[in-house]
Amino acid sequence: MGKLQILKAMKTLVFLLLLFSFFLKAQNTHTDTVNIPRVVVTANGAQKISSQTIDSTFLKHTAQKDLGEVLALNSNVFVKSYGIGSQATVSLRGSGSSHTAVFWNGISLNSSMNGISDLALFPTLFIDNAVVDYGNRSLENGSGGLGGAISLNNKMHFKEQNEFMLQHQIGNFGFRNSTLSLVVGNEKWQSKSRVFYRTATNNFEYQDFGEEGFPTKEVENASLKQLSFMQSVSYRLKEQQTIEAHFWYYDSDRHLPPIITLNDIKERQKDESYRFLLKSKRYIKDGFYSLNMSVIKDELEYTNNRLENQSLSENTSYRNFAEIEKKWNKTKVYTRLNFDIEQAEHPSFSSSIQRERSSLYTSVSHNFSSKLAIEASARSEWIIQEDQFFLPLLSVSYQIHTSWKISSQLSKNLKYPSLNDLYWEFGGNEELKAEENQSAEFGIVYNKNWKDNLSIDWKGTAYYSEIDNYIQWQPTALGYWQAVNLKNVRIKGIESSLNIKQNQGKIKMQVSANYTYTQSLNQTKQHLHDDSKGKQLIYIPENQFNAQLRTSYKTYALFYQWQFVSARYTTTDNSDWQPDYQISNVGVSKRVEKDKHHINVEFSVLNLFDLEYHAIQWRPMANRNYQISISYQLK
Amino acid sequence: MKMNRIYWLLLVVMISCSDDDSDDQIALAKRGTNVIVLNEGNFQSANGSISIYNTSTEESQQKVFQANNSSRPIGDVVQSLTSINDQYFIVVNNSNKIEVVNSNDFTSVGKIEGLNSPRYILPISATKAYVSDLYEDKLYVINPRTLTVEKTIETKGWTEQMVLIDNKAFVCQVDSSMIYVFDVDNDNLIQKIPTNLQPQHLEVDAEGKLWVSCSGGINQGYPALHRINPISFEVEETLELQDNSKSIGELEMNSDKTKVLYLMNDVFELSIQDRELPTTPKILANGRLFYAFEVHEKTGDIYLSDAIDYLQRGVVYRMDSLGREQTTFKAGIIPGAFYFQDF
Repeated sequence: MGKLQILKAMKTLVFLLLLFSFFLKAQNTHTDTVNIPRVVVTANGAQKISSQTIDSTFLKHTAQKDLGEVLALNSNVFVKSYGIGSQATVSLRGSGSSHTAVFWNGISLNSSMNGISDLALFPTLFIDNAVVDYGNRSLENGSGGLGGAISLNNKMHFKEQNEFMLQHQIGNFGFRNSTLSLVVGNEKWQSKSRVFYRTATNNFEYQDFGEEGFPTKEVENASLKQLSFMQSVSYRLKEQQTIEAHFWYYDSDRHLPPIITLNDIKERQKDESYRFLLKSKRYIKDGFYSLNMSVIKDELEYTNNRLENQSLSENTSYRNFAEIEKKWNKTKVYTRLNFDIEQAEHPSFSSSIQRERSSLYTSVSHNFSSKLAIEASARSEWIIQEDQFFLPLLSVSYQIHTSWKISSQLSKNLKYPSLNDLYWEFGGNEELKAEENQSAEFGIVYNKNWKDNLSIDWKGTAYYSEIDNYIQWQPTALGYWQAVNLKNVRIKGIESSLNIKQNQGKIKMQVSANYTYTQSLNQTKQHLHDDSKGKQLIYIPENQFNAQLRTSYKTYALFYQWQFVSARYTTTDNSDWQPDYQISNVGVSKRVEKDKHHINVEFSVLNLFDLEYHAIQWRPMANRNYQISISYQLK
Repeated sequence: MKMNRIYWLLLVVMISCSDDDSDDQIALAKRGTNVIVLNEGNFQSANGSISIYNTSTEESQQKVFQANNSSRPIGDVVQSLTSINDQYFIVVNNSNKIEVVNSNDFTSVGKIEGLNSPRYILPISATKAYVSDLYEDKLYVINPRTLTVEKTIETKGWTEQMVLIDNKAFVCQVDSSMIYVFDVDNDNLIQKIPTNLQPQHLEVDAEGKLWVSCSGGINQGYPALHRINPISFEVEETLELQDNSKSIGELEMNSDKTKVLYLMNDVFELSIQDRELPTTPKILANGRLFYAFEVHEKTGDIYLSDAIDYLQRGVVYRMDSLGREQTTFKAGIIPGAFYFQDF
């Protein structure tokens, strides 16, 4: 293992680099025209090291069905997918899926029961802005993001607008997806309504390695039906005061596709969630403050044909926070106070559980000169009547040149055990300690804009992180599994992200590429014969590349996406692994505009080279498939 | 343009690169003893496997079934192995099947499907065997010649290990804490013998008496060993441990069947004449996590498996009959059972 994979990756990388250079070269033949340099307005996130804003073009790209698929192609995260439409969890910086915090407008959406968030349940239509914060950059929103955080935001713009959008997609395996959105408003108030409906049979073909001769079969029991709607309303009370409310309902019914050699088990999972958020924001001189309240209710029903009863879990969380930001001259102070109540019910809890948490986050940043900035922040977290933590962060950044900025950060974070880890009967462990993290990182940011509408942004970060008291479930002599603070993990990694944009008259080109290196090693040896010390954690690939090329000429556009994921170990002693894979997607689109009517048609081919692969051992992924998307917009 | 040709060439080279992943066939040694280790694998992960360790060559071979059957994995939770008609019937519990292989090279001859969650096989004749099941409320009656399920027998929930004594099948009925006795000629239930909570393992001693180990449930009842008279169906001895928090697991006999060994974190031993459970262990775990064990009848050696963290290859310890460690070898994930092929 190793050499052959690296060789394959190198070949593909060389191919892509040559492809990039081909396009760049072609552009440079037109240097005689005088172009006014484009003013590039980047959001704060793009300039912050270890923070990555997902480009809105790529976020809304219809070839990607959900947030999991978007992140797999546009960032430095590893998305662990159980199959088309099935659960997708995210691993950031070599840590576990429960170490990725997911925030919606500042509110945590991670389940209080198992600590994870299923990204397959986030249709990208409902997200206006997505930012990935790597490592402890995530502390601003909350604790627990030991690997990092994904922030999903809705943006309301107070302007005169009436926009209607209807989109329909058809694809192989019975894939039907319809989305509708209506934005109405003026300078005083705004209303945004979004509806999403999806059905799919997911009966793709796969090779059954569990049967003699490896026959080709069609997947059974993988159909899904999902419905969601979001209603957002915002009102400008006064010049400086706004109120915002969002209501988001999601209903998903998925039959889970089987594992090879386990064809008889028919699993089904229903997820239903209600999310309500109310926000009041007031702008003051050089700052603002806001009050945010939310109710998040999640229900999960799991059945399979072997179990007598279904497993039903319900959790309701009340998550609230107040924040204030103020700038003086060169100093900026930001403070946020969180207060959460978490409630959960499940047949495996002896009684319903309630937990209260509160935290206070303060950050002070100061510009010592036009080049040097220092930020010091701290998060204090209280698990009411149980525990208290203090998590500091220190970050220094220096602008060495107009195009180059370097920064360095030291910080601590922690992840408190989930309700399942603590109270599950049997196996929950009330003695569990929180998982603790220390990390250091160093980063470089480069951006430059040229006269002929060419802009290049590059970010590179190297980090080192330690997680102590890593929680893992282990079987006990009594026959049930129990959560224990099992080991210490040491992680080293590199994240690199490149974005190139060029406009040349009627030709536009955009290239983005991400490279991620992650070495996540167990440091604990349980006893003499434990071979897992010094070995990579399971399902954490050492190398990942992804790249996108998008080019348009007048109303036509072409895209090409490529993703490479290196081998993932399936055993803690690294004796077994899943081979690496690379997936390519390609597509074309045409736009027609007349007055206020905009029509866009896109045709894409996914898994272009028809690769038979498993992201997770023995769980087949979709083979080559096609998709057509038609959208109509009135604005 | 020249560049175009280079790109196409690179594209072709890229696609044509592929790994050749086939395993090489494994030949079994034919001297000494082949210790067949069944590795359960993780539940719903389809990573069960079979390892074979040879006492003469002192080498262990991994994933033997997969290597000798064109890279086909054996399945999810490999539970037990039974020898019938010179073939091995391997129960793959969570893949609901029994794989049937040649005993000399583990190549597949067929399989029995249509089972719910099979556990153990009790051979009765060349054309009849019982199969116990975790979820089904039934015993399956299979024909090992034709590899078919011929009928089912009503039971009450989870059935585990079984033993044949004088044309009577003694079956552990775990959920209802009984030993069910069936007449194998007509498959009728002739007796129910009550035991402590959760009887799972059965063995017959040198005097023809039946021993059963009861785990005692999880913090519910006392774990115990029972010694049962298979003719009168009387429970002659009950050796109980007055401690709810403990659990007795696997039960085995030593070479000459005059001693009983059982697993309760450590390995304990007692004589079949003893009236009380021993207080000191024969083999101390000492930080090791003993998962399963078996006594090699021919030599008296004790083989113990250690699953370590249940997510890596387990290790097997070979002890002599006095419990002294002789050698160790690596097996697969969660080594759960041992069978011996003596030459």
